[in-house]
Amino acid sequence: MNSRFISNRWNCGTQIRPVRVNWTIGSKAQERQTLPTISIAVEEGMEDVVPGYLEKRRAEIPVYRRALQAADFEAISRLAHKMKGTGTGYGFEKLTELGAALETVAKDSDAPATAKYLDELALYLESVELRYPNSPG
Amino acid sequence: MRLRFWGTRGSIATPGPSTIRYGGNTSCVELVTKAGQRFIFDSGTGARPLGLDLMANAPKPIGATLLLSHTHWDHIQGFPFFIPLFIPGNRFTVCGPLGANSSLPEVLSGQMEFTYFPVELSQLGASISYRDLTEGVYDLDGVRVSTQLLNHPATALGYKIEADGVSILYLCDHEPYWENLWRSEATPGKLDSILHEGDRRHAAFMQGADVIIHDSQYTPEEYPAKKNWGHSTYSYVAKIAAAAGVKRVFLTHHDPTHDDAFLDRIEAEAREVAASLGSPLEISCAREGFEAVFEGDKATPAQAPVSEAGAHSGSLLILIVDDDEDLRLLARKALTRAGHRVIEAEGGAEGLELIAGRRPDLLVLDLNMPNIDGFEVLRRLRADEVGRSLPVIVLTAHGDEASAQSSFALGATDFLAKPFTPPQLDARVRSCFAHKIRVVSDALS
Repeated sequence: MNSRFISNRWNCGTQIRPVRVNWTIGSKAQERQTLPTISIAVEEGMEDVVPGYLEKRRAEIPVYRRALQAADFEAISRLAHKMKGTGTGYGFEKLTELGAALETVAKDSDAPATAKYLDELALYLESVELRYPNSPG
Repeated sequence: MRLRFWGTRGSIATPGPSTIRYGGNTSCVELVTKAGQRFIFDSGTGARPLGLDLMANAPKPIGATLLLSHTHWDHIQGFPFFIPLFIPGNRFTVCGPLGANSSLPEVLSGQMEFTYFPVELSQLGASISYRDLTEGVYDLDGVRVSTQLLNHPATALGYKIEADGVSILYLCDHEPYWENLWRSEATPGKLDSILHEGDRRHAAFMQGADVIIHDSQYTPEEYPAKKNWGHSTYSYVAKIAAAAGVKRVFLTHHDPTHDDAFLDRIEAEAREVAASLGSPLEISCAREGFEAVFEGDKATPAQAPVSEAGAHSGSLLILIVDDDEDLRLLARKALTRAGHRVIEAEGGAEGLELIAGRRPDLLVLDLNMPNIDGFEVLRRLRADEVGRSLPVIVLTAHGDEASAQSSFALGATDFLAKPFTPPQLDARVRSCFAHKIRVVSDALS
């Protein structure tokens, strides 16, 4: 299993504070052997909002796809713009990154590039698993 | 004033052969006036050799004012090893920014719990008093000390000390408010060419200073990967100091990965930046052990007129206007965790109604909203008696220069591009509010 640590962007200088974001990329349970899992640790105090945020982003995938089919790049750009603004704050830097990329290509009405980033977003959202390092026990 | 660097490193102490010239101890700078008032900026690991020096050479009992920029570890780690604190009869005043998560004694005693250190804060022999500072002008030990909040995810305070006819500033840790200092169509090197109001205030604070000691942890190449970590590049420091007419700059808070040879190059490149702007600014990388005396003929008020930007307990009423529910939720989380009360509106019209009805202390405003957008909210707000003085932080995913310029032109107090982190938003709220109170109190006085 491979793992890597990403230092918490909220910390500056040196603080006595644990690294809070840990992505573990490796094989998951039997039912999805081919799909890597990306483990995201939920920041203390954010436990009640992060799962809902993630579910909303997952629910948006069909919305994006329908908009792409209808060549409604304005709708794609609007959704992606919002995701760009909030992803990092909820602990998902990748969503901010993909939101920015999707917004750019949607503004160019670039269907192939939009489809490519949309696939990447769908794969990422499917692969994310939340961890709660601060939960008791 | 006599200035001596005891610690010049950022983040973590890095002693060894590769840092022997610029030093490996973390932040600590000593400043002593001709009359003998002693100030110590930060107490990183450099505080240990300073303490030993004071024990050997200073008049007894030892007294000093310790000015903490903030309480990240690299700025307080030497505190428990500062020997004069152990000696009865010595007197210290420890000052730091109001708004840290805990009080100063709580933070300092936290790193002296038995798990980490064998002597507790309460067991120290010296007389220690604590003082929370915000933005303002203070009389500390008979010396005029001005303060201004810096741009750092943790609340951090910059200090200006005026004595012996000179002004010396300590500005750690601080990050540019905007990636490019100058507006793209403006002439570089001038104060009024600075794009972001935050950078403009920072420049105004150091304007005409004899010496500034400034965080410059990164190179411009390293910075993009370290954005929002709260530190500057040497290039930013050289440019802003040149525009502010500063005479001499010491670059400090050296990155632990920068060895002596690397810092030689940083020093040379920073000098080139200043020269390219036609500035006579002198720039050096701060070296541990460097000592110099600065005296001048600037008039310093004998009795400092004291003003303070009003302490707030963290219970501001903040209105968030944003059409994105997820963004409002995130901002609400960030601000309520910091002790503020939050009300929300999902559009400009509702926001304006809430401003009129609830009179919030501060507004966090999105730009891109249907119907009445953020620009229009700003326009109406500034034309209105109630809204004119309301501090406004524009929080937008439109992080382009044109949006920032338009926002400031319409009266925004601050402009923060999404994505943001909760501590970053809290720090900007504190800075914005302190600035507003300062403006009001200055006007009244």
